[in-house]
Amino acid sequence: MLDKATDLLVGPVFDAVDIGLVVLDSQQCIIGWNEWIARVSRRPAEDVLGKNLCDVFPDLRNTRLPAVIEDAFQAGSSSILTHTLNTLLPLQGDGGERLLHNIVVRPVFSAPAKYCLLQITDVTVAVIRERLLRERQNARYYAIVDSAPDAIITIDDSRKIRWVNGAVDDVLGYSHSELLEQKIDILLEPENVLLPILAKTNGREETRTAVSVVGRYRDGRTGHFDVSIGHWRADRRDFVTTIWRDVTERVIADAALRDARDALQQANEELESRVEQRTRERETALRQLHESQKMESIGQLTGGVAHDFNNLLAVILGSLGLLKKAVPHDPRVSRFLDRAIQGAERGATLTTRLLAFARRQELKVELVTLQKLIPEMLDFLRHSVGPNIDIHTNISPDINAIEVDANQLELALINLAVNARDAMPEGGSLTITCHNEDDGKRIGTARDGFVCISVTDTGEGMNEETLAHAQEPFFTTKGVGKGTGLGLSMVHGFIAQSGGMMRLKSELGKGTTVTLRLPRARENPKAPIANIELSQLAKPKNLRVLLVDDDILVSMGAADMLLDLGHSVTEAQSGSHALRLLESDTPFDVVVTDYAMPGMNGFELAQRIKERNSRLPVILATGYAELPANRSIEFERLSKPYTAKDLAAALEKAANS
Amino acid sequence: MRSNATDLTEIEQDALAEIANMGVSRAANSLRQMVGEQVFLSVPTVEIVTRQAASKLVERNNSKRLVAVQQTFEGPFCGKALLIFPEAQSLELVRSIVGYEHSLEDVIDLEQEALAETGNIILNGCLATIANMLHRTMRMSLPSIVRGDGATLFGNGASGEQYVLFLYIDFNIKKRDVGGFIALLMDLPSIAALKEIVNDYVNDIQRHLPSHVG
Amino acid sequence: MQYKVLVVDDSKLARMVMASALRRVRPEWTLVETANADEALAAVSATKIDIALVDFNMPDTDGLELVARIHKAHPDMPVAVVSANVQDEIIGRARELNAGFIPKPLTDDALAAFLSGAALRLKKVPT
Repeated sequence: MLDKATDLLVGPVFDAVDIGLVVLDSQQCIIGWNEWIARVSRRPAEDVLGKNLCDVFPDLRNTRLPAVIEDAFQAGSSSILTHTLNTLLPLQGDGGERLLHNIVVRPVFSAPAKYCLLQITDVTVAVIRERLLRERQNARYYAIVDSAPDAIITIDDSRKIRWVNGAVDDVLGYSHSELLEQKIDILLEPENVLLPILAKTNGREETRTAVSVVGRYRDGRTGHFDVSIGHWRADRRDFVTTIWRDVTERVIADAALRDARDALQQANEELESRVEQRTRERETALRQLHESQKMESIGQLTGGVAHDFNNLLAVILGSLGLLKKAVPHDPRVSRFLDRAIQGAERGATLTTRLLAFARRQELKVELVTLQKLIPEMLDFLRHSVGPNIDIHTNISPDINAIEVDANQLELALINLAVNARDAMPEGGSLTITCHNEDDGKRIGTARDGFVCISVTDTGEGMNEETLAHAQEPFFTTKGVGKGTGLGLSMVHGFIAQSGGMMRLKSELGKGTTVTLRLPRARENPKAPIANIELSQLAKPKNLRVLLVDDDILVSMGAADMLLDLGHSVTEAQSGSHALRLLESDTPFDVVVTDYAMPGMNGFELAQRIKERNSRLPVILATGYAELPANRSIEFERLSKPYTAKDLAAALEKAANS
Repeated sequence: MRSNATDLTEIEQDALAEIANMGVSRAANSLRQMVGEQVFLSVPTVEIVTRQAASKLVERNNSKRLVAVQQTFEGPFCGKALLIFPEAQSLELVRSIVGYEHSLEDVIDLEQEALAETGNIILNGCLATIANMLHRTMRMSLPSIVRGDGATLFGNGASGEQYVLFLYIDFNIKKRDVGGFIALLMDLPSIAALKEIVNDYVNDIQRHLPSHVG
Repeated sequence: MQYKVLVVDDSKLARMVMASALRRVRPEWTLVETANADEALAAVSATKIDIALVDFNMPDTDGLELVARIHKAHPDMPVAVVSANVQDEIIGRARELNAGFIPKPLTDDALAAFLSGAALRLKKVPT
């Protein structure tokens, strides 16, 4: 309200205000046009007054303005038309710049007339100020963002790129405008890890560590990128800002490093495995050595015990023999004596076996043709294994002869057969095959020319553990009282002593094969030793015997035997003693010496004697077979314990050689 | 028959619904000019409720963040006209009109003015139609923007404005669905005056139809 | 000539307005009032309707679609869409359907103009 309004005041005020004022009548003709609007529209009042607004500005007909003015008259509506939704009047500022303006339309009722007032306000400054303010506020943000070396890309909830920073050119090769409105998918390979993460919002802003992604440059090449992701909301709309760092070079370098490290590790592992293998091999070898050493020490122990036992048996046997001769013939007494002798002889058999195991038995090596030996013992074998077992033989007719102790071989085969029988409680079959084997290398030896005897059964077989233990002495699966466990080891000992090899092969449930390989006989085999009955021998003449034994008891026993045989005896307790005696004038016909003696053993003594007097026969009495069987020994050997018969035979041979 | 002031007879209901529809159609016509595509508006329901009820109704779906374009009106009846949207919807409305060519920041700047103008168009459409149909002129204010929850928008009953002519409206602009409310907040005399005027209008028409079956 | 006019509008008030205007403009013509599409189609097949005035903004009914269906059965019937909604698209579609358009609020003049034109068309068609 203008107090004391006068037309004089209204006019200047009308033109003084800093907004545009236009007054229209009900025909929409201009009846008021103030200074401000005249200036900014470049239309002076006199040009427009009385004219229809839309005639003065024809473009207004396409706008809402005419209808809105009409509404003001008709309904009394007040309206606002903003620059954001409308393009209205062509207004310019002093510098010619376009003026952004809003128009407010108000009915003015001054009864009875109706007018419409337009107020035109310049919002340019406000708009620009706001924009400047925003820009200033954003300037720092933009400074960081635009100067960032990494590409920053913001997408909306349909994955369309809404905003990018300048670095997209450097990093990805795209210009600003090329990326806007595109889907971010164009930067990614079809199957990529990024898309699902982009979609996840949960309504909260999630910060994540960067995701490694394979991205695509503008030129189509791919590269590796670390992409950081931030979800954010503005005005209920979801956006995702991604920051792309090109790490292709680093990835390549990392990959190279990884490859190198893998290679190194692999080399390391190989080295380790090789070392492991060698260690295992060594351990195996050591274990085998240990085993054999163990076997050897057991053997030694057993052998030692057996030897001592042998000596004692010799004394007992010898004395019993003499006793039998000396005592008047009484059946009861004879019976006792025979029993005693039998017992001692059986003891001797046992020690023989022990010594065989210890590889120290005396072997009677002779030429053996398996083609004859095995068929001859078949009956005995059949008897040993019983009727439930079928025995098959497959003996190649052209196999070579071998040099072995035939008895021991038979015993060995019987041993194997009995083992086979025990492994086939329900019955089965036993197969013995013989054939030549010429290639030594195949069986791991430098020698060539073997005869192979294999004994196969269809029995329970052995598992690996049992197989490993099978050759151990005293190892038996046969249960208490059923086997001494000496069998296989005895066979093994005998075969080894005979210069051969034994191999076991077994499969649980399928059966076992024992393969014996014995060397072919040499060109000039020793002639088989005939077992001559003592009674067929001519009565020996009286011999002067030098008896050498460190064991007095044994020596006495042997001396008695000799005396009984009608020889004269001189006893020496050591090799050196014996040599001294030999140097003396006392003549001797034969030397009978024990082998195992401290200091100088019997063999050494014999050699020394031979050096001095090659014509003096030496008999080595021994339970040991220290020397390998295939080394020729020129001295007569007498196996302990020996009977008077054995002694006489040996003396006969020695004296006559 | 005249019952409780807040009850609408069937014919009153019908009349107001028709007027509301026409008012909103008029607004749609105006909007179409700006949008460039067909604008779909409908008014499913019209009712008179208390202020408290209205403030609850506008908070349906638990949207307590509301934006309203507000205009006062004077004439044979007076009160406050409100165009009310949940905040997100209000932006949807404006964006659908303003378009998406602008950058994120620009849209935010423009939004407030655009919302005021849009609201102005819609409310004017309704009010002007009422005025025209009822052969009355009114005086209406320029739009202002109010934010808050239902209680804030409907005030604490200043000057006895207790009754709300309540319309729920559906928009579909450029394939985006927007749902909001129009509320005419009036005091009892104004409601009564409105009803009277409506009845006069109806009677006027009926007078020309002696054999018309009502 | 007496013609029968069908009015389709869900609003009773709108029907009243229409009836009132018709009485003023063409007092001798008859009026059939229906409130929705189903009623309208029933009326069209039951009686001989000469002219139809269809409200655009009806719930569950697209006014323009109703116009199309009426025209399928009666291609030559003059039909007008009545609506406050004067958007180009709506007017355009009405034109395509060979229908007139009368804006709301209904004025006697606008109604009279359309009815004159309709009567003219009806006279030309041999019945």
